[in-house]
Amino acid sequence: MREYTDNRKKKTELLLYIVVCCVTMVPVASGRIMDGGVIGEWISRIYELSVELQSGHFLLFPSKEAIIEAGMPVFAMNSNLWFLLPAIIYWGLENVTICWQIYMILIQAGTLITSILMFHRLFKRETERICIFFGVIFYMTCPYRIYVCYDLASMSSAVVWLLIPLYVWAAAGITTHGKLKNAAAAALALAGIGYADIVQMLVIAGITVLAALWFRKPLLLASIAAGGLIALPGILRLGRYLFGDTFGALGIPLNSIMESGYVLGEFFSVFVYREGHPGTGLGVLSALVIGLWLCFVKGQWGKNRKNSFFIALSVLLLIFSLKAFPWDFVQRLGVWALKMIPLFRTPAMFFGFAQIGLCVPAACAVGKISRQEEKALAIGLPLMVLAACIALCIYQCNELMSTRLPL
Amino acid sequence: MMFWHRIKAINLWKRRPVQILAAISLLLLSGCAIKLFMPNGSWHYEESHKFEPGDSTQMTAVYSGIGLKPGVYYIELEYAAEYDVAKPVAYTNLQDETVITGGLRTNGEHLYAGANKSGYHMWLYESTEDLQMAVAYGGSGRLEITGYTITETNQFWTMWAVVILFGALVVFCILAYYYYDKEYTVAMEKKQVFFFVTLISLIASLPYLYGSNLSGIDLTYHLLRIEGVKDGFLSGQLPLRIEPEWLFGHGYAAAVFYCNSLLYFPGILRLLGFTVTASYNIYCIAITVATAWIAWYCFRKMFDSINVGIMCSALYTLSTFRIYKLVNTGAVGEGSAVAFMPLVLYGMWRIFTENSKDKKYKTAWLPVAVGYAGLMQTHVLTCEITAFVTLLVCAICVKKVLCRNTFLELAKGALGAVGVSLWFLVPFLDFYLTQNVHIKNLSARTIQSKGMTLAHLAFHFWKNGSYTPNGETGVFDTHPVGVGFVLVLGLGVFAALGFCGAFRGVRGAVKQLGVMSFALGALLLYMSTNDFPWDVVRSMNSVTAALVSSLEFPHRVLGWGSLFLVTVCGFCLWYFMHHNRRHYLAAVTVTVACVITSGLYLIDFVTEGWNRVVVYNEEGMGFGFISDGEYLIEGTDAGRLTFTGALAGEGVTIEDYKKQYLKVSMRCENSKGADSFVELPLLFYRGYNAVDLNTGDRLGVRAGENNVVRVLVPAGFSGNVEVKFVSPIYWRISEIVSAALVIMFLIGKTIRRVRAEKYIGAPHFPGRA
Repeated sequence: MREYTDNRKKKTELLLYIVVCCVTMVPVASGRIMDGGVIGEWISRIYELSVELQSGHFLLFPSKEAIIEAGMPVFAMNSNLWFLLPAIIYWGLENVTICWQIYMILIQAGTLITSILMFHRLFKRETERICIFFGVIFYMTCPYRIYVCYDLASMSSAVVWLLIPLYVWAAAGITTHGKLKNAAAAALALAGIGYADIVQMLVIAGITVLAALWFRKPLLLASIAAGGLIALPGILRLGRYLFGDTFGALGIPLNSIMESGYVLGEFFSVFVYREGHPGTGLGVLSALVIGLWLCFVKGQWGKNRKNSFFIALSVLLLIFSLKAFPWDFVQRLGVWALKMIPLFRTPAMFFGFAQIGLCVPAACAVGKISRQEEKALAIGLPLMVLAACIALCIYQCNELMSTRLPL
Repeated sequence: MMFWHRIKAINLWKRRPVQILAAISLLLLSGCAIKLFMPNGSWHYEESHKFEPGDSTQMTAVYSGIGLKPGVYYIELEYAAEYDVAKPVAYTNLQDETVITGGLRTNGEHLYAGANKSGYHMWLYESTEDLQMAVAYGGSGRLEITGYTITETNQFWTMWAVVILFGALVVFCILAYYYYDKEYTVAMEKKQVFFFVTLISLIASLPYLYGSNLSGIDLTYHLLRIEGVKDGFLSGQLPLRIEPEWLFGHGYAAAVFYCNSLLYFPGILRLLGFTVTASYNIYCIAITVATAWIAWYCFRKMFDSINVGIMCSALYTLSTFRIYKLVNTGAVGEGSAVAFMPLVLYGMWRIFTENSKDKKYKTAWLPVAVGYAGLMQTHVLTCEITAFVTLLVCAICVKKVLCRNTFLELAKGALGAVGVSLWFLVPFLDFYLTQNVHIKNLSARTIQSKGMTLAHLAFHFWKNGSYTPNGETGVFDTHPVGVGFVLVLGLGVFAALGFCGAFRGVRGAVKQLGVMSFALGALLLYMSTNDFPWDVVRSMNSVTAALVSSLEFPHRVLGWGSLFLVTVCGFCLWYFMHHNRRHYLAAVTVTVACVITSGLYLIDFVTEGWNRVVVYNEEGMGFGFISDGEYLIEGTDAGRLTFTGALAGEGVTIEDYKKQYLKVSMRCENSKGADSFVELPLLFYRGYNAVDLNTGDRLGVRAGENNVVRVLVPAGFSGNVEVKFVSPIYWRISEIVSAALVIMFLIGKTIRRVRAEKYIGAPHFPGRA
């Protein structure tokens, strides 16, 4: 009987995962690439790579001409590795829209799988099943992820968001099991991130150092080193830019990024995509409110090292994402910093990472409320959170599609 | 043991974190204090720059390489300008590429032909060596920049001192709560209330957490009111009567007609060094928090339920009308008045439903008095609507009104409100009755077509919109001027339940409240639509014409409409809570969902869709905006008012002319055989006095050309003259009466509390008689 119930639960979960994954694919179903964001950057990469592949070459990094033509030199440090598949598809079909659709479907499905892996490792499979489920839902419907995939339309960042859960899965494995194969997986995932977006890889490496200190697991540092080694071509390219004059002709900007940071109110935005500043999302926000309520009113928020880490990390990253954070001072640390900070493009990137961190305590809060004695709270609130996540994701995808012209 | 005894008992000052907090705060405050006592620097520089007429320029650096440390500075640009129109000749601002983003904050100032100096404040957060003073010249008129003066102020350090104090207070409260909770365990209900009302306040305050202002149609007007308070205090007025810098230093008597006692708070923040935008946002957050707590308090008392109180607080604080007024239009007066309306409702409910023989009935007038006083001192028009609603309630409950005790409480409420507001009412009535101000001549305004359509009632997903509803555009892209679907839904549920006879078994004060709110809420909703015969009411007589005209928009009645509808929703929740738990849970779920998808939705779109402005210094928004010029003396052409000096009549010579705010001093001589005059750049309101400082004799003061102050100078007169605004003695008496009443009330309250504490805290000896 218990086995039957478990099977039913698993099936329901799977069904809901598929529903959520489909919801995040709604813009793909429009059959059009929405104009705007950085689509010019990856389209020019795909074109160039496809042409090169036809002549039997593989360009790991885009050519100077392609970078200048795309008009986005700030992405010049990113490799073409993750554009190999779209380039092959484009070579075969010669239709960039279908190429984008296939790639986005793969990214969404891949992200679903990696996020399931991540939350299965962060929470106990038997007792925290609901946390795992909600963690995946929060991650998949995260407004910043949807923004990255469709509004900013950055293929590189979408891949980063696919690989981060894989990296966290492996890194969490190091902290709990400490096995070498986890370190190898983490290194590979980190390198994968590095080949997608070298700057984001560096940020994640920095976060990993913090995690290594917090959990006192030096093996995490080894995974960073190994990951860095695998992503060496990208790191070397970045090094040559930061410490030399190699890429002067590309015209990579040296601007201040402070102005494009978040203001406090934008953290709580629910319905609106502000220019490059999506909010926290109703699902995660309401789950966090539930968590605060449990903690402040009911006194039921026990101390948990993992939760504390993710909360502290998120707060730190949120501070970094603020307009008021003095990135200009950081830029004055040296020529390398002056060149490095503009590669972030915007402090909003840190807001995105903070959102990943917040998914963990939010999922934990829903898990706790579902264990309340009062049935109305235990069932009603998680259902409301789930509805909020899915409804808001659909709403935001609809808004995006209805306000953006097709390419 | 009472609260304070318990706080004493937990020995907060002996706790290490509190000691550390106190030490850090004191250290930082000492740093600020040392800086405050250090002398402020002032730097003057002279170098001439001429701008050729016909040759307009973009921002051009006229002075550069200025080195300054972090601080708040007053910048004065000196110049000679000539221009035959009442428009600025040029615009000046500071620029610096070397400081961090946001490290230099100022909006600059315009250069006027009638003035030879333009001053403005600047906030500098990082040391610089290359500050530049730039000028954008319009190409018309003559302009020669002659020099500048930079004066350091203390405001940087007073501002930080306030921030440190506030931060320390917040941390202290958190620590105190932590230890208190650990020692005595705060009741879960209290925590619940604090948690949810704070959450409601936070959500409703979101528009003010963007570091800028939404450029609502009334925003500039209210920002100028706040600046008026600041300048008024600096000019020595207490209480403020005439905003001295408004209308290019001519002084505008907005404060006499539009009480700004609550705006003293942001005005003081301005004096302490906060920017215009920051002061405004802090005030709006404070009034939002107050609204949430007042609403919770009143509804909790009326429904005797903490949870219904919380739900009603959410519905009211996040109501479409409140967001529209306070956020969309920046109507600070009306938005602030919303905070006080629940008190009037609660007071009336107590007066009409409580047993008049009970001892506590004698305090039933208090909420009415406080509520009405708040309304009078925030928005007179809302107060008039409240009076209309009160009359309706009294008419319905006329039997009770005629009971001695009830009438007495009503009278006490009215007298209390009038007494506390006497300091404002006396000058207001004095000017209204004796001065021919523009607002008395506005009875021609019609409002029939400006009401909502019935379709507006069903709107739920409001966005900011571009139009106030009118006959031509209908519902197209209108401002969010409804009540939101959830409140209309509450009305429908109440009607359905009543129709099904669900309330037959319900008795008592809450039912009366529900029924009355239903009837009045529906009536006010109707009044806010185009279907209500506003033109017919207007054409009845001159009084109704003036009242309807002053209403300006029918949707103004939606303030009270929203309040009654929230009460109806509260009643439905209360009914379900007591009769059917499942229905209650469903109703709560629907309410929460509606508040999120309507209130939060609206806030989100309003903050996204509207232009944002950041005003650091008042000069950045100019001095001329007066909306419809309601408080100008009729016939004044505000377009002709600009910065200018004194204008001497025939035969009069003026020397040593000095104007500081509303005070002018000069040496004046009339060498001709006939009486003459001097016209001053001050708008004429009754109360300006001109005195010969040598003899103490008074000179005549009249309205001059374009209603400016004209001082009559007798033939052969020679002497030092001082002209300034002096409040009449009966204004002063009214201020004393109000102050005395407030003090008496506070003393009475304190004595009662001390007595109650003594009574409860008295040791109890069992067995003693």
